[in-house]
Amino acid sequence: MPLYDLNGKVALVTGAARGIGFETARQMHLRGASVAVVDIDAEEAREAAERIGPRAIGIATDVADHTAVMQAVAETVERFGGLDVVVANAGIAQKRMATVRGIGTEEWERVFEVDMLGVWRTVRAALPQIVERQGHVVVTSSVYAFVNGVFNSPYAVAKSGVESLGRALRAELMPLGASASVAYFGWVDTKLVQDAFETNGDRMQQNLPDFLSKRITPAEAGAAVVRGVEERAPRIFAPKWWRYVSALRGIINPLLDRRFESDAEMTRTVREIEAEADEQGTAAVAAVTR
Amino acid sequence: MPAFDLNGKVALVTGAARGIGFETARQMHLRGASVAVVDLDAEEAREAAERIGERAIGIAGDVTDAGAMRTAVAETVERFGGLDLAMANAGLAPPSMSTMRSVSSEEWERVIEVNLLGVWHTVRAALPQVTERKGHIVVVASVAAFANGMLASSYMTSKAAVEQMGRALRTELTPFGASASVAYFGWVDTRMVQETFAQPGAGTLEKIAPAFMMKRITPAAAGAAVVKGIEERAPRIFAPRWWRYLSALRGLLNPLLDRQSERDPRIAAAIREAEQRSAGERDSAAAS
Repeated sequence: MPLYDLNGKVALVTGAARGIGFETARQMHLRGASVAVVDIDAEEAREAAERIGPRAIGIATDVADHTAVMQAVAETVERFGGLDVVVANAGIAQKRMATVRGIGTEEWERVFEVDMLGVWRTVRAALPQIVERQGHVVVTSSVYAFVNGVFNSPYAVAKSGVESLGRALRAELMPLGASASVAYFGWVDTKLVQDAFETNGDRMQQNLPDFLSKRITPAEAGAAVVRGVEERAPRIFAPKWWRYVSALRGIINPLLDRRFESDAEMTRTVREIEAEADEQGTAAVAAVTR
Repeated sequence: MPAFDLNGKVALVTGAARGIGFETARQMHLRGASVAVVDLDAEEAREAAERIGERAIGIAGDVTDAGAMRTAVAETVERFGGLDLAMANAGLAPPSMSTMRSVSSEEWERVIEVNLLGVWHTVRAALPQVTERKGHIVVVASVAAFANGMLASSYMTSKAAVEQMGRALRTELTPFGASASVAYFGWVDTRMVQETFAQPGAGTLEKIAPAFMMKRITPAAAGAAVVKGIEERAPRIFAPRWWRYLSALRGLLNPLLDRQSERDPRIAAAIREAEQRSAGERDSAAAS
């Protein structure tokens, strides 16, 4: 028997209409849990809950909205009698690769708000129930918590914050009999990743060895999360080998960062991306003045 | 000659009325830089600039206000003819040790807003000038970027995030001849740290951590480390220096330390105490 048995438990997963969130919710349901499928799109949340089965409800919620998240928790508790597991998974990425200088302010701040503050607000709303029922929290970070966030800074900044939040949360929950995991995913074949590769093309792959850009399925990522919940694991890595990169991050990162600085291809890409941002900026200004 | 000679350069430092920010501004000024001393308090900013000397101006600015940061940069450029260097240093610590369950939500988010979004607003406002003049940016993270954030999670979360911003920024600036450093301080004897240790519950930390780790350095020593880092365009600035080794080993040490702290009864007691204290404060607030 697993350390933490999901059978009969109640779980809430944000960003659960698709991808890793959906797969996590579906597989927890298979283990006997009731699940609240929280997503920003009401219709998609409802449909996803239907596909999952009888003990699943769809709830429309923007995780960046504090009150909405509290309502989602209240609705789940009302429907299923409590809440044992929360997976703060909802996240977005910027539309295209951009530098800190070139990205739109609103876009940077929106990614940060959803990916970082959305996790905090979800956790906050769920904590009273989780502590009372000695349950478990999963915060979805990413390998971007420690991979250089060049062209992807709001995402990396947010995910690094989420990792720190998750570690502290675990330390604060363990004395109360509850627990928390930080989940780190590499490339998973989700809509978020597909969109990124479609928009940015070859640029996504350059500077990366082939094995680094290989994608796993959302089902595999979901299975890793479910196992992590059952084990109340501090860290969940999928693909698993990222665990070793994480362990060596303090040594590897300074070396990789330095290599980036002298890499001709990286230099060219940074210049191209900034030039494109300048063009778009000029075009936007021209459109306004016209 | 240093990689980046401060003589004749123009620098802007946020949170510069006191502590590490003040010392960095003062020491850059000694190297021949003109400095804009940005601080929340107009009077304190002005006084600090006066103490630093000529070629120093005080500017009142709230780092959480993107418009105020743009104005601060514009004022600096107008006064000194440009901007070569920005140090996003302003930050605050949570006013009390508390868990994520017991902290007030506004208090938690305020720390993120100042420490992380404040850095973002400062960097954004300075980037056009810094890039054009092949200058340098320092973002002030902390060893908190890789320490466990229990009982002060907003601070550790914000600093972890700042570190990631600084690394990405450096990679994006290098192709233009500009650069960025991430600064990591341990305990520095600033007002922020003094206030932190005056909080109830802070004693536990002093009991648990090894003594060498708790030793504080002076703001002057921290400022000197930053100035040296700028002159070298260093990717990372650690003060005290030995934190560099803990940072290098963080991926291996953190899982072990986190696990150990989960089993430490003194930490469990400190967490329960913090939760009870906040519950007590909430009750007395409700009663009044």
